[in-house]
Amino acid sequence: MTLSISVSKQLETLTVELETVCPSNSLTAIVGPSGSGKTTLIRMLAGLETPDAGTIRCNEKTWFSSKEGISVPAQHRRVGLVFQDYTLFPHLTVEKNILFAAENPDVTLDLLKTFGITHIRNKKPHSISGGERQRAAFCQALAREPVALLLDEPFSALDVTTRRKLQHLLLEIKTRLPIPIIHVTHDLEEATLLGDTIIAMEQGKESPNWLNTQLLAAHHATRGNLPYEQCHQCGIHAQAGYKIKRENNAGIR
Amino acid sequence: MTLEPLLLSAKLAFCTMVLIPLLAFPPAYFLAFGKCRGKSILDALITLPMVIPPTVLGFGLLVVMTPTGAVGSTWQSLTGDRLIFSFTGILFASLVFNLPFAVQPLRASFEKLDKRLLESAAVLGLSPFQTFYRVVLPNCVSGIVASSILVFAHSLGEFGVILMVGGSIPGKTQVASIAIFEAVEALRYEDALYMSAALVPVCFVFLLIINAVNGRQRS
Repeated sequence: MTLSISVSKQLETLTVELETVCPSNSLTAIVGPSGSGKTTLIRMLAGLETPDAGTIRCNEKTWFSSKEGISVPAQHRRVGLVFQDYTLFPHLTVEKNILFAAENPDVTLDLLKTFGITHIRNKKPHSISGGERQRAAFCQALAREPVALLLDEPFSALDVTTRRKLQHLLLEIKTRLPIPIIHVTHDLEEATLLGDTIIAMEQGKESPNWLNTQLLAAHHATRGNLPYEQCHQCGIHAQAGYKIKRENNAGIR
Repeated sequence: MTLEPLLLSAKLAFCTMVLIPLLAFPPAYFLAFGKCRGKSILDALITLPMVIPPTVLGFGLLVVMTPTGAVGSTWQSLTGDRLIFSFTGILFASLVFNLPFAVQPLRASFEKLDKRLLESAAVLGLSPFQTFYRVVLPNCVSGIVASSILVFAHSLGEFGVILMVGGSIPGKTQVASIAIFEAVEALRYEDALYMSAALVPVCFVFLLIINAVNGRQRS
């Protein structure tokens, strides 16, 4: 399963443009400051917004093509999407929220176990913690057995401890998911921890300069200890074509 | 005093309350979530019965509901019955008159709904219709209840429109408000008092329920 993206969309203040290929069993982290067009990109991939031009292909299937006049609606793209804030259906219990998305009900129990939320299966979203809600949101997104998983800053509303736990859970489960994962975040450390490929975005476009500036700033702020050198220890380096690729599995702790 | 006008008012209010969601849901949904230029025109059209005098609305309805009018002739060719001066006729008028009272609370309730839930439903594969009954309706129950109760209470007090379209045929179109008016005109103050005394607490209780529902929605 490979997601090929080449899109552009004019927003009020900037143009979002990206061209990349996201392979299976791989997490592509898109990192950049607020307002850089990351969420717009995720929404275009999910079918919630229409690009002005370009193509989006998932394997052989075209989801969007401005030239061919194709735009597959969100309902038929079969992606899993986890939003920044918790968007579980408030009138349903956790289990029913997951069943809501599942075509195979047996998947629900497995997901509840994997994400460690079996004990809250009968509770409604308003009566559980933020971390539990986001775990349930992951279950819901995966219950549909998606062809791609899209994550829009899924951990940004969580406290540091819960965020860490969920980041490591994602690291653990991503190896078992035979689909491309696209993870949008403004947190560089999270991107380097989770991403197999990291794409920096600024003002709607890929921006290796932004990434280098951020790494350098962090490097200076921590008196040369973190995270610039660790990034290098992890094998992160700028590639031709503006991408930053981590070549081994070591992460920043 | 006869109970017939009170029972007829209750029957009219109940039928209006049950049937009006069929008419009110589509425009309320469109006004809340639609994105096109015609929205403000539709909004004004639906709100019109709220601001024009009931007699004007009643006259307009009378014109279209007579056997030679567009609605009346269609109805007569379908059923063989006349629409004006019948219970069905005053029910039709009541539905038109109450439409803004049903649409506005529903619209407000839909607008309060987190739009991301709709997007989430779309990404999970639900069609717009499935999203409506599996996500929107369950999360707007209090708005629907408030809208229904408002329509019921408002229907109980209808006068001008019903009088224009239905006249005052006892047992058929003579609802409580018309019976009270006629009792006063005939100097039967005692009858008017009893019917009024029966209507006021009912409306009061229904308004209390609306307040409770709105309070719950706010919290």
